[in-house]
Amino acid sequence: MKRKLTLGVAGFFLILSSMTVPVSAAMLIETFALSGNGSFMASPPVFSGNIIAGTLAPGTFWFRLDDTGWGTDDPGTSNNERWDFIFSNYFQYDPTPGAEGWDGRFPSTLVGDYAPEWRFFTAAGDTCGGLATSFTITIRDYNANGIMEDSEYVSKVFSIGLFCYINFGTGEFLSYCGQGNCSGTLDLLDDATWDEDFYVPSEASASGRLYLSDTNCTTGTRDSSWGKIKKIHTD
Amino acid sequence: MKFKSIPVLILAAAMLFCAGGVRAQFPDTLFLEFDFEGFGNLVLTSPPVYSGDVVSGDSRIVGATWSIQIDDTGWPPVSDPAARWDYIFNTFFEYNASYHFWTAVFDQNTLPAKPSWIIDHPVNGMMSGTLVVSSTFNDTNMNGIFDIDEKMFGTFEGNLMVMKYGTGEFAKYCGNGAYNGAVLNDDPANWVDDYVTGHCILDLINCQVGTEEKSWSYIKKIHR
Repeated sequence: MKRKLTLGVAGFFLILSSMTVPVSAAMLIETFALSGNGSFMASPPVFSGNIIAGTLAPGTFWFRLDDTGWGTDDPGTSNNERWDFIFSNYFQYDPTPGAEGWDGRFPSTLVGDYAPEWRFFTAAGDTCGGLATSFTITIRDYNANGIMEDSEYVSKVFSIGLFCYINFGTGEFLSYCGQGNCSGTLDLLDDATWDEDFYVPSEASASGRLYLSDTNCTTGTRDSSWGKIKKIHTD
Repeated sequence: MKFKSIPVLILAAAMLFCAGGVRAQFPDTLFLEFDFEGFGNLVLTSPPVYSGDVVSGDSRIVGATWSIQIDDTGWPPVSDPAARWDYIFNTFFEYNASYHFWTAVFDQNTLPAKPSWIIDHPVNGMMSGTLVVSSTFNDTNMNGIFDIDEKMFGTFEGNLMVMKYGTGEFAKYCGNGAYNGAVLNDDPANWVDDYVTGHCILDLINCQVGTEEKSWSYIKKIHR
């Protein structure tokens, strides 16, 4: 782990130092592991919890999805209409023999919704955030029948691409922007509420990464806040 | 002399037995976490292959080699790298004009087939499957042009499926996983190899157990 981080840091700084950025530019590599929960049944769906390890720990986080048009579950029916909408509009089946499963990508090109947003808050009072360039959830079709059974929904994996925007930076990250990513597991905790365990490993690895720089983060500030963020979507 | 040798022979046999003969069997549920690094080239290799080593993490997989292959059917030949790169950029990269970054997605929607992967451990066996790859590059000067220096650093992440066709200790497993990392290139103008480094998790269960047995309670045993 230390070797990888050292290589990553060295490479990142080496590459950025060779780019056309001012000599005074400052770069940061932040690491994190996350533990929290959330539910697709909440409106909007928010996955939130604690930053449990890494350079950003201790702290808290949230990821919020745009659920415009998702609707609600009708308790009078056997199906969950809200999930049916999500599943049919965001998830796509791959029938590759031996690797059958569904990949769900948020935002959806079908629905045309906004990219998920995210924030990290450190206990020291620093904030960074932005949108998710990709938020992909994968469900394995263990019996390869093309039907997603409850037992298959229980255990999922996800990966998230992060784009950090200066508008949401405070404290140490006031003048920083950049990009990063994380990956982890999304396991059902409660089949009544659809509450899910959201986990980016781990206490030991702190595998999430943010690569931040204080260069070229000043354009499109106030007019790029909520009004412009709302315009972010995949056509 | 012969009688004195017997205890030594028994001890030696016992040590060999313990070292290799009764290696602990892997559990029915297995959560592997590891770091990887390697190299690859989208432009100058056909099909594009990224490969390298598992460098740290779970001892059951450290020491393995890994590779990812992308189906480049229909791409221009490697003999014309400029045309090949233009095709890759125009086909897979999408620009976000509000936040100034490009995201490229390689999956079953953008390719004839999902990319594939293999992890091969010299002792514990092999695993393979499919994956999706999403990669992001920052338009640092926000001019909408993917400049050479902006190709020098990017991030990537994605999810993967673990097929049930592994070998050795991994023969009984299937499942899924996810990964995230960074890609660095110190001379993209000359199409040199990308260096990639990242972190991966594999969430595995014993797929030789009947499907019906993988009930809620069984799956809930999956641990970190």
